[in-house]
Amino acid sequence: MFADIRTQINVIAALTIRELQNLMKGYNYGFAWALLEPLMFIGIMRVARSAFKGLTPPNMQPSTFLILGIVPFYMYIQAVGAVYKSISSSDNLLKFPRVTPVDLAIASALCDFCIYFALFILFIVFFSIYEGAWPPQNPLAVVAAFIALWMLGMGLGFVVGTAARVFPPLKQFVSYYNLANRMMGGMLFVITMFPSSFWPYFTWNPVLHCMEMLRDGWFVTYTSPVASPAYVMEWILGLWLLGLSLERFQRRVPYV
Amino acid sequence: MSIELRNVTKKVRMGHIKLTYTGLDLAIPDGARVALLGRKEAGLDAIVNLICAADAPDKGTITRTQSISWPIPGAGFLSKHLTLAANARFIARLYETNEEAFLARVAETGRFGDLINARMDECPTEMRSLFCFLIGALLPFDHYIFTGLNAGPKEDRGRIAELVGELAQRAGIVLVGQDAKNAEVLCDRAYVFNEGTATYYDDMEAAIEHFSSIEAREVDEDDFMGADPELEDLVNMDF
Repeated sequence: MFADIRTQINVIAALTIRELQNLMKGYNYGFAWALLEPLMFIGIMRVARSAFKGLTPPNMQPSTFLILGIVPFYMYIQAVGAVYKSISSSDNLLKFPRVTPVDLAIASALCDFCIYFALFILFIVFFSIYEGAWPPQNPLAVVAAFIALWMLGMGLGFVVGTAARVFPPLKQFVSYYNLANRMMGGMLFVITMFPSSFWPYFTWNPVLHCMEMLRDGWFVTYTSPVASPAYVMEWILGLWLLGLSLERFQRRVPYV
Repeated sequence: MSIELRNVTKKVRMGHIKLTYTGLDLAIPDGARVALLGRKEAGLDAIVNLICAADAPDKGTITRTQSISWPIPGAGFLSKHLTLAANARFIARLYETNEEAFLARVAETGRFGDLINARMDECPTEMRSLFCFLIGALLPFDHYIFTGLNAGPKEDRGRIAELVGELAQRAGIVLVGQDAKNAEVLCDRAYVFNEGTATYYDDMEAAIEHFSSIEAREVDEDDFMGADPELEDLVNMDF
């Protein structure tokens, strides 16, 4: 069994390295776009927040606050999309008898994790030192929340990817979900910015818990009243169990 | 038994090919040299996908007890933006082989010289096909699945035939396609695929007689690559 696990790890490592190499294909915009997209968004939000003062929590440095929300959220969206794509469609790499759709999905999501984690470290270290929000209160909690968000994205990707094999229009719903999550997932706010009577409308969402955990872990000045690592773990376990079971169940369903 | 398809049902939908294999039984024993002969419209790609676990059957079971290669010289999984060396390293990592030793062996056997550091899309077509053939043939499998043996420049075909002959001495061979000439030399049993049925022969002469009696449909002008899986693979290369 351990030999099989080692083989699978090697397969995933080989596929991930290949994915990372392909980001640079032809020195086109693959890697540059991964860097520029969140950077542009952070810039736009930073300008907007300067213009409309009061939208940023007063006890948190604005750029650090935005980076803690935007970069992990982009990674989450990318992880959902990468796993969704690998599971819902066929790939030439499946011609290798030792490569399975699950390997492709994990490798693809791991590639996104590597890119966004590197971006996250780069941006957050620079801006938090610049704004005086360095060092983080609990770096391990921040990394754990980042990984939890990635796992959550993969779990959701497995579920919607397998569902899309029998119901392809689901792709459109994933786009709507992502749009809704951009507004409700805590990317640009913390829960204390709303009256406590509104909290139940937000706290069902595990992405919001991860965002709260990130801000709680970074800022000495903020303690989240709602962040629950156990709730996030339950979602991760539930989504992975459901997603992998569906994937196993649907292997006989032809690709559309 | 190395590869066994038991009571398999599979709907084949590949472009204009629409047929269904029902109750398909296929057995490839350890070390056997088997030809899977069929015209393009027999949907052999789907059968190969089942053997390689790239696809699952609609019904029935497939068991594999030994290591199997991918369809050689398949090229769809290679990245044309990477060099031959980077692609070879990827294969070595995937199959847990020493990267440097594998790369050196591929470069030496294919006599690629400096071309090994050229990007796939900048490499001459015949050298690319030779590379695709060698990265599969130089790995140690129990069973090699060949979808074509005409790889590389014409002057190298003799060496390729020798290499395949050596492989056939120590491992199983599954030759897939319409190449009855090579099948007769290399294989000692065959399945002939036609209109959703597979007929088994342990006599190659009878198998080839059956295969020759199946008329090939006229190939569409747009489908001019259809007769040559090697060329089709290269055109379908990913990325």
